[in-house]
Amino acid sequence: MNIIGISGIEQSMPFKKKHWPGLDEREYRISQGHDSAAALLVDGEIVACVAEERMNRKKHSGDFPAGAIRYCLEEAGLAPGDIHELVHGFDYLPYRAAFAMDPVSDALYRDVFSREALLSLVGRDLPGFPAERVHHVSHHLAHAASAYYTSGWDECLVIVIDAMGEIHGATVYRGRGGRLEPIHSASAHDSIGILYSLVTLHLGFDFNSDEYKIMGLAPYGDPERYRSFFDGVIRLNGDGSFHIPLLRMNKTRDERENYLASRAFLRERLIKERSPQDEITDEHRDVAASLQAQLDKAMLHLCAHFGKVTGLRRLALAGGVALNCTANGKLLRSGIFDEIYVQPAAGDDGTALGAALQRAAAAGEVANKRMPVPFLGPLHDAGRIDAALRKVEGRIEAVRFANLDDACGEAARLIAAGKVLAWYRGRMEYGPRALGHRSILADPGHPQMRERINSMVKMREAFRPFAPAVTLEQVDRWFDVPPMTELPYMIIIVDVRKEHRAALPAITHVDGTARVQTVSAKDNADFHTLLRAVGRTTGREMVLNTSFNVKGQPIVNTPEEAIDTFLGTGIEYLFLENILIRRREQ
Amino acid sequence: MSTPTATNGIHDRIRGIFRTKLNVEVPSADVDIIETGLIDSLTFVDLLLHLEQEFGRKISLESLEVDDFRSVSRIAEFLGRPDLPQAPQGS
Repeated sequence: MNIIGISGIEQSMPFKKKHWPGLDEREYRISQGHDSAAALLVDGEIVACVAEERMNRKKHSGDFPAGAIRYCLEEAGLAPGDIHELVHGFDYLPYRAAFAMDPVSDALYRDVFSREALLSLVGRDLPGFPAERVHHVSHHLAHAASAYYTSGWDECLVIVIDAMGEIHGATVYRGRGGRLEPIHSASAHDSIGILYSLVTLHLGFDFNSDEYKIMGLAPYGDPERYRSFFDGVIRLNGDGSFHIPLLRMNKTRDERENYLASRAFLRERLIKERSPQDEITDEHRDVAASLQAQLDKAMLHLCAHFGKVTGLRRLALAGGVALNCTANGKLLRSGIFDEIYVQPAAGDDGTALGAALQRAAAAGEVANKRMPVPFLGPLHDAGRIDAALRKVEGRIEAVRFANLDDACGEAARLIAAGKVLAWYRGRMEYGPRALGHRSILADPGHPQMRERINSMVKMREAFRPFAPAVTLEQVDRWFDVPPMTELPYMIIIVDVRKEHRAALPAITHVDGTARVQTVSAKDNADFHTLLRAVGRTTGREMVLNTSFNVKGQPIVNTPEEAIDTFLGTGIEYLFLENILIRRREQ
Repeated sequence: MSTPTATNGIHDRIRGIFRTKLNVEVPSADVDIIETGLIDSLTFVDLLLHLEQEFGRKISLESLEVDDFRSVSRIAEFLGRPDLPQAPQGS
């Protein structure tokens, strides 16, 4: 079968804007259905996956993923009529009665969450597509399927933890023999994801978007300062669950919609709310640290309990909270599990893949294989790159290398010389990380490199560390892990070896950790070739690897976007495949 | 037919769920908890789960009538129906 999975709920934010006009723009993100994406399976094989934001260029877009679907079909040479199933990673139908509690919820169900609302979008963007081919998979099951059916394990514990699915904040499954069996679920009223996002908002960042920045801020703070506050906020129960009374304080429809009472409690009992433009102080750093410590503790509590109850020693994770690399690192180091797999598109974009996998698995089509490095997005060929270059030929100089080895040799020389370069090749990544196909690279040992990149391109908060990419063969030399430890998705934090921390200032966080990506010749061949070349020029098969975009912009997709971003920033060199591009001297 | 004492016992158990599990204080057994906005859709689903656990009865979200859950009294009446199936073990 040809199955397209999709995520996102287009009408969600517009509905909120209509019914709650005049909110701060950041408050509109307290809503469901961001990060639209599409994923195509053909006879159970993953053919293509891409987030809609990369197509429509609206970060975290929740729009119906028309562009993403179009790309998936093009990749496989299919037409809309060839799709046997279109599967949405939400299923609100079982909760129809629950949404009849009040007129606004009733309208929310009808206009936003219902099958009819989805079908109207399908009718708009895929005219004539038969309604009977449109299916639904519940949100957490879609997340769970995205992890289990790409884990390569026949049996494992699968934990989904996010802000919320239809009504849940966490769900625990046992994956076995190609099936997922739910064994525990927690209400969204006890969602640690929502709590984390509310504190993110309270600290002046964006709900459902900037949680990773709080994670990045946390190591600068003192986790003891607000420990007792967060101990009171998240109560750990003996059955592995947790209870978060703070999220149940909201009594009116308005309070519930925007967590007004919860936020007032944070203002009154924690610290006053920070505006985005305010300076970040010790108080904010300490709140971030205390919150992160509590998340680490709660994740360990949940995972350890169900690991013990089931006796399973392998853990597969998905859901937005599973993007928290610090908590993942604590889990890995805890020794509770022999192996941990975090599905690299753990956020809602990944539910497009999961929804499709769940339907394909039910049809017996899925061979459970470990997800490769997720280069599953668009590839733009030499003709497209040449056309893009012709448009700017007066502004650039291009040097064409005969092959990858030559291009890597030159890139390695530039990196060793302290240059910052953009590295664009092959198919785009699925999920939030740039893993070597849409990356900005530099030498992690170069003094001031973090500040240089921040000022020339990223314009991002100075406290946030950059991540390293290192060859699989050298990972244990620089990082405190066993030899050949595979961490290919940049989603788990490990310790930088003490003796190397001072020499790797750009990628070592203040607590001595790094969000490492391992690169192997088997799974990420071109990038591996580059890292080997870098090893010959710097003595380390390692680069600083950050996503190729500027603040607020999705990662670049096309060669045109790559060139525009290059020319609009201070990045010194751009490699488009084996072509080196630099600005023409004026 | 339930005796007044038995009814009060069921009422207390239901109000106990509201108070301890859902953080909702229900002023009286006849207050309309939906009309007054005391519970929302998430809390409603939680309520059903806790009722199932407390009373060992299976409540189908897909086929229920919301009116049966408008007050503590109505919930008690609903739970007293002889045709209500038992909840599966461990639910």
